[in-house]
Amino acid sequence: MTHALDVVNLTKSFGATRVLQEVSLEVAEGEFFVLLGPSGCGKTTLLRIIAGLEPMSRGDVSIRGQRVTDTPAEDRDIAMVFQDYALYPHMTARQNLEFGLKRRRMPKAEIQARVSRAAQTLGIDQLLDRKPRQLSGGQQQRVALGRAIVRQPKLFLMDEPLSNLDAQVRAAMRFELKRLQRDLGVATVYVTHDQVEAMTLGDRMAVINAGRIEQIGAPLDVYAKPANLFVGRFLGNPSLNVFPGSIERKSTTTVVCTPIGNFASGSNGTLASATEKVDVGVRPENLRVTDRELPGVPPLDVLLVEPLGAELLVYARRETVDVVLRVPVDTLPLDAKKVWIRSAGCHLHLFDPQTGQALAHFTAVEERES
Amino acid sequence: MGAKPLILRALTYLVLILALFPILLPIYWMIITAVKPKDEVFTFTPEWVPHTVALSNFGLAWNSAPFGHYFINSVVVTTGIIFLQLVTSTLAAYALARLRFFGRGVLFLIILSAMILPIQITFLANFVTLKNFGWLDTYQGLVIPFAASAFGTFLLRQAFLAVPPALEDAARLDRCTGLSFLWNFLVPLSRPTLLAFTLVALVAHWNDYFWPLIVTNTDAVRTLPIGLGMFIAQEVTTDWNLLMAATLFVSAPLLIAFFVAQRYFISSFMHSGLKG
Repeated sequence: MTHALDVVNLTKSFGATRVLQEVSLEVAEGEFFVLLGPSGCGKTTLLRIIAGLEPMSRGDVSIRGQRVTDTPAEDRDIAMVFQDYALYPHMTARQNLEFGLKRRRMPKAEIQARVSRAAQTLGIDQLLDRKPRQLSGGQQQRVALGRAIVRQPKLFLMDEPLSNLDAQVRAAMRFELKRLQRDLGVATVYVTHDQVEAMTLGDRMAVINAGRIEQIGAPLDVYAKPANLFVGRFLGNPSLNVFPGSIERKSTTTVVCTPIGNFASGSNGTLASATEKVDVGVRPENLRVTDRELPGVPPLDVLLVEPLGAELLVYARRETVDVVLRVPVDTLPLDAKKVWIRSAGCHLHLFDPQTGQALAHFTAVEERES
Repeated sequence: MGAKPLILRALTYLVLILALFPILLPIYWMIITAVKPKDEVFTFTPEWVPHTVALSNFGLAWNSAPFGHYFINSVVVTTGIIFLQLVTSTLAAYALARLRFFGRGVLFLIILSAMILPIQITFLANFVTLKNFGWLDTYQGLVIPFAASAFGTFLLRQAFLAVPPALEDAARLDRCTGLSFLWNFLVPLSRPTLLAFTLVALVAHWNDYFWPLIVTNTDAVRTLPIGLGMFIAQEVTTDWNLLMAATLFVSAPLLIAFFVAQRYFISSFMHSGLKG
């Protein structure tokens, strides 16, 4: 099966600076693919190279199995939505939508049909005769999307299209964007630094850091099984708790010893690949906690409890290690002073302290005396 | 922010009105002298409002020299210059603002330095060149030396640079690149600058005296300012009312153009932060 997009070993340098290194990815037909990463990681450059707006240093780009590495942007049959929309300020919304079709010498009737269909889909029929500056941010965003969908391209490229909208409009547009993309079934590459957008919109995502792809996968898989410490930390809010740990192998089980308690794996096999010293990562919602003393477990001092409604955010500390916990609201009283971690049921990630690569993901069990 | 105190506003207006006097007084004097009969021009006490309005002065002045011909010459020359300057400046500005090529920075510096040099420096060389071409006393001789404008190129380059690059990317994906991007985007988006530059060039070349004086020898190609100069020279000391009438219809087209387009005229200087 041919993919909507293939990127193979793409490298981009500006002088001595490598902006993208050996990036490879594929996007299936109809797939919503998100490029997620902190600002300056190269994700927008990658998108612009796919569009043909930026030359690459090495590598190959194919669209629907056709190599387009040397094809100019205007002949790649892709449509792009820009961060600041890049609407044509001297044209009305209608002219903005029509322009690309006219340049492709499409028959007038076809142009009209496509524009009115797109306008209806996006709910901008009433705004078509306005100039961009007479439109609100959300409306401009719709026109920009309209300009992309009338083209019926092989591929949509979107460069942080929601980042200029205020929070409320953004949430609404996110929902619409997802629905629209599903209805149209056109493969989409979407760049964002917002993990919520990435998690909610993407069928799959690539986490990019410093010009490299750190991990590709379905958002929930990446969240549950981060390939390395960077991905683990970058996804999730509040961020992953990380502290040093050591591995103690016993006859039937392996125990991860950490400053906040010991966590036992069900069998020795689970942690076979773990080194002696590890970095232990645990998401705030993956720690189980109680305000009743547990024998043999070191207590954590509670610094602050933030009620979020259904949940509490608990900021706690043991000696020099800070821990954030996210627990159901009825777990603790708001004035709890000390808490204890129940190790059984906590989900942990172990990383190599040198390379940051993930060694294992496991759920701790009750430690049986052996 | 409240309204300024009345006294402060009154003072502001007073200063502005005082400043207007030295500017408007000669123009007013030109207008009333132009319509005064000959015997009212020199009176012991200045006549601020003419007793009788002699509109026939205009006809007399117009007919006492080939002003009709001068007028046509001025229109042809000025239009020709402005058209050529717009074409060359737009294309050069596009290259300087949007294309990447070797030596772009140096080329731009050279163009900038052409703005710094007084134009009169080029006159001798241009005159000799035109003489060799046999273009003295022709329309080409009046127009071609001004076919390009460093100022216009600079002004438009700045305007084109202000058009966001994302727009060019978007246009490119819509199959609009190169000169068609220039025509469909940069030109319409820089309309205020283009109009302002047109006005600056209009003023400069409609009023130009020096160059047309050097290269014209016959009435066939003389422009209005030269014609007016000749008219003054031949009238010597007499008939100030006719002189003023002639001066009025020489300057009227510019005054009208300025009043019609003053908004753009002023905004261009705000944009460029430069004088013409």
